[in-house]
Amino acid sequence: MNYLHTEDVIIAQCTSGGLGAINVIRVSGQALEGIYKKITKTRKNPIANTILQKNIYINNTLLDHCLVSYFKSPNSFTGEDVLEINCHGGDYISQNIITCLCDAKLTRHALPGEFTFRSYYNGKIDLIQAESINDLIKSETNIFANKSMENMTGRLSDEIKKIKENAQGITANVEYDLDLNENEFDNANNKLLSIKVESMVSRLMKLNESTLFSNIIRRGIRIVLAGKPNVGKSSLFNHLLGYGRSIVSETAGTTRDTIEAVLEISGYRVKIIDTAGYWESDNQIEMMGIKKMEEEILESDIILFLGEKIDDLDLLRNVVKDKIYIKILSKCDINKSNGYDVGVCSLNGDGMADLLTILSTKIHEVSNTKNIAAEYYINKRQQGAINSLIISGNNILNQIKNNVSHDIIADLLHGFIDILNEIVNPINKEDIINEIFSTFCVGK
Amino acid sequence: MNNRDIKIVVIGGGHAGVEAALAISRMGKRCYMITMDTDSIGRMSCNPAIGGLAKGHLVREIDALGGIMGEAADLTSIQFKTLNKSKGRAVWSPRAQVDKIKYSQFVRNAVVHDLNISIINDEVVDILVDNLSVVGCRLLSGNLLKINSVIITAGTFLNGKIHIGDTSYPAGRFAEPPSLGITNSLRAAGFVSYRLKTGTPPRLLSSSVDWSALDLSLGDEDVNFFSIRTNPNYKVKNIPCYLAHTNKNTHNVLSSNLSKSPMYSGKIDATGPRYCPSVEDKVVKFAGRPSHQLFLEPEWENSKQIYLNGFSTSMPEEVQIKALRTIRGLERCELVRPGYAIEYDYFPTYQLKSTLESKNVRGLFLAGQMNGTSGYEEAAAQGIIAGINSVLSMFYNEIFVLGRNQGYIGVLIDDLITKDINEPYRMFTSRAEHRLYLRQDNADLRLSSLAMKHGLLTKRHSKIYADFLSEYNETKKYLQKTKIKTKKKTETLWAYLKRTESDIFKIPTMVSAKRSVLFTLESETKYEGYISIQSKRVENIKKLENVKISSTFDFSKIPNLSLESVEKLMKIKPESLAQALRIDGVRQSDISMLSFYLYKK
Repeated sequence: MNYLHTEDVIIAQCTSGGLGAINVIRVSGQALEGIYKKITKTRKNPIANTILQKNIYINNTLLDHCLVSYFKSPNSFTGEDVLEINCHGGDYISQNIITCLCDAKLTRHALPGEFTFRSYYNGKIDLIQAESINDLIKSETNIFANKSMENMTGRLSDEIKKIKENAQGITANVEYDLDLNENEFDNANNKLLSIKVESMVSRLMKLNESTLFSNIIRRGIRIVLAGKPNVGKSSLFNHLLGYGRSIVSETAGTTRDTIEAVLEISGYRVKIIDTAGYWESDNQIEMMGIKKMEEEILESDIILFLGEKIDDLDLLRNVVKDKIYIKILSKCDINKSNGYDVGVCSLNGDGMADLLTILSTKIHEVSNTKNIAAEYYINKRQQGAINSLIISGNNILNQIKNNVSHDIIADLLHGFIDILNEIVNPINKEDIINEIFSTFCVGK
Repeated sequence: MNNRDIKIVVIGGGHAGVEAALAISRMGKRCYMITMDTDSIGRMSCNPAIGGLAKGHLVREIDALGGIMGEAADLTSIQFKTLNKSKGRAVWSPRAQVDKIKYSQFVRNAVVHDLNISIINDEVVDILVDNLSVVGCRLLSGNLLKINSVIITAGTFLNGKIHIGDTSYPAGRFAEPPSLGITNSLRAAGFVSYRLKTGTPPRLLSSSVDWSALDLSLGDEDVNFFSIRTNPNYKVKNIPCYLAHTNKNTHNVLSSNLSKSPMYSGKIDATGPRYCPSVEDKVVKFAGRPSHQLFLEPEWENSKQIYLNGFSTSMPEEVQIKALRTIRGLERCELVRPGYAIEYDYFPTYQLKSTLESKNVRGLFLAGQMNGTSGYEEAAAQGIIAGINSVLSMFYNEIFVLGRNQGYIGVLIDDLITKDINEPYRMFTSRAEHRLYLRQDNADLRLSSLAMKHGLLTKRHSKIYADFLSEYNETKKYLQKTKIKTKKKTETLWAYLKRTESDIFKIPTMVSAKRSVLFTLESETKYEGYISIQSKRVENIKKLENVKISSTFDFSKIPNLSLESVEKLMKIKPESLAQALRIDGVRQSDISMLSFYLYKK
């Protein structure tokens, strides 16, 4: 994909199509007054930041009666002129408008993420903000959406900026000593330098602590229901579906006979897997069932284990190692036992509230989050850079401790700052840019 | 001797001029040197020292190219010191306090006795240009020289004006008249020029100083000479210099008299060197500092004149004396000469190519302080490059340009033609991204082979360098083949020496080798690893260097570039993306846009 044809006027439908009342079409490019006047058949130039009722025409054919807004460069999302057409819903009208404009060579189809790319290209947002826009659109849960929004308003960028200022200050001091200070070196300088670099590395490590949290909110939490046949897994499964908001986007089925559902529980994206299909009464197949269950458990974050008596817990001991689990006494209206965390009855709903409370705690345990407000969402690319920074920073600390001379330390500090620059505004990295923006939706 | 074969003129006999003329001569060509005063050839206008932080690197490189500055400093020094010894070998900077009279005598003799240099005691008033090429220059006496190449090294003389407090008068240097005419000539040829200002400290009468009240500072016993041509056993004098410190009272006197300083009272609307700022600048800008260091340096051996390093000023004489007498040890000091400011024309260097030839006029070269630099070393470096290129372009259609990864000279010239300078440019090691490689210990290895190819080294120099090089190569082979067994492991000497604790001078088999060879080899192996770690960064920079921008590129075509950036880019016309990045004031996001645009092509 080539995002570099920035002289082209681009067009795309921003709304997701299908039957909705309104579709939004966005056009971006330099000096769109001509196109505006042509398609609305007006002689006057559009007034920026207004929204007006206009007919849209191509070659004297009326296409639709719309609301049209105009934004003048640089005060627009992309930094160029932006024309937005709110047209009637249903794909035919919007696609027709787009096709006509493209056929008339007034515009061309936008690439995925091309509008956001232009916003980045025109210096309106940095790369972290650009990535967060994509995250925001794709987020399915409250937490993810909030964290993406934070990044969009620059929370992560600001933290990186502060660390960069820190690094630049440290480097400037070292350079001052090398270039302007005729006095010879004092070991006290090394101690002070160490402290400053250490504090900077700690700040990065604090940021890095959000890695687990970030991965979890992006991929979601896997919860598996495990236990013997007919212990009540499916009933519990259905009950849980009622308690969490269902996320419909999940594609159905795997090659295993599982029933899965994706919900939002406690702000997290949670996939619940019922291993009901594993079990047959035949002994041989039962062994296979146990094996399958074990595999499922390995890939899960939380296990909801159901049993009816104390002996059932033996099964758990054999298969569960280093996993977070909740021992649930099923059908608690007729079963009584020690050794379980909670008892539930799917018929009358007893124990469900308690179960959810415990589940909520366990969910937070998985992402090791004590305070969500303090966490950042950091994507894979950013994580990689932060890791490199921590390695670089620790290397610098080592060299200082080994009394390596400051001409070398200064050089290492410059390398550190280079990595920082790469996170927010890489230069000459067209391949990375393509990689990032091509994962966007068209229209964004 | 028939002078009709002389085609090159060097205007000015300062540090830039002499390096240019002598380089031309070594390459086997002849030139005129036109100076307003033959006695002033090689004169040191300010600090009686050569080298220092980062400047020492430049001197070593000038020497590696066969220049005279290093040798002259070695043989006339009264104190020698390597600065920054505790901060890492890449920033070791040799510095020599010299006997000013002996230094300039040495240089002047070399020029006067050079058969290829024809000295004319006169003033150039006009440079004749026809069809965008230099065709001649006219002298004050009325003579017209028909030549095809002019190297202007006019220093601070172009429309020079001295300021001491309320007094000002035209001068190129103290007690020397300015040069008028050349600026107009250049303007007519399409050049723009602005004004710059530089300061110089007062000279004190030695007998009026209470030396017992000052701190002593001695040079090194083991001297690290600038030139490999200098006999390592040559005994250098070690004459002490002394330190004094300003105090609150000094600062009060200066700040309460700021209105009398031409800089502050608005008389000069030029900018001054920030790195040797006038002492009134220092007091204002670093108001938090209770005291500044001053060095008292004798101008020559047994001289009665003491150069007060760190006290550049253009205050009236009474204010200078009043301020100085608040300093411990200077309570009864007398001035031989007051400090003064000099204001002069300077020509922004983006008007030149990297060979220092004008972009608009063929054969016209500008070098030295008139290009906006400050310091003898920066001037000499430009002089030698201009000299070499005037010969190469006239006779061989070649160029001699050092890259930023080859030497500080490369960094200097690239910075000059790229940055939009609004204050005098001084070299710092932090300007070199290849600092770990561009050490003063390997200057000869980096540059002398190249110099030999262009005939820049005398026979004697070539022989000394060849001997050095062969001993270097042999010893290096030995180190890379021979293994050493320590408690930890068995490894080659080359690997063993990488450790911080390892010392090449303690290896028994190395006792007979030349010290300079050993030191260079040890530095090379110790820094090899760090240089290769940084190679990725260097690779990225190289990639940007390879993204070329044509000289006719229209920057205004790139949409959404800030107006300020377009202006700067159009003015400076960078030759590559890397150069564009180095321009001050062009934002990172603008460069991103430029890089995308270029990528498309």
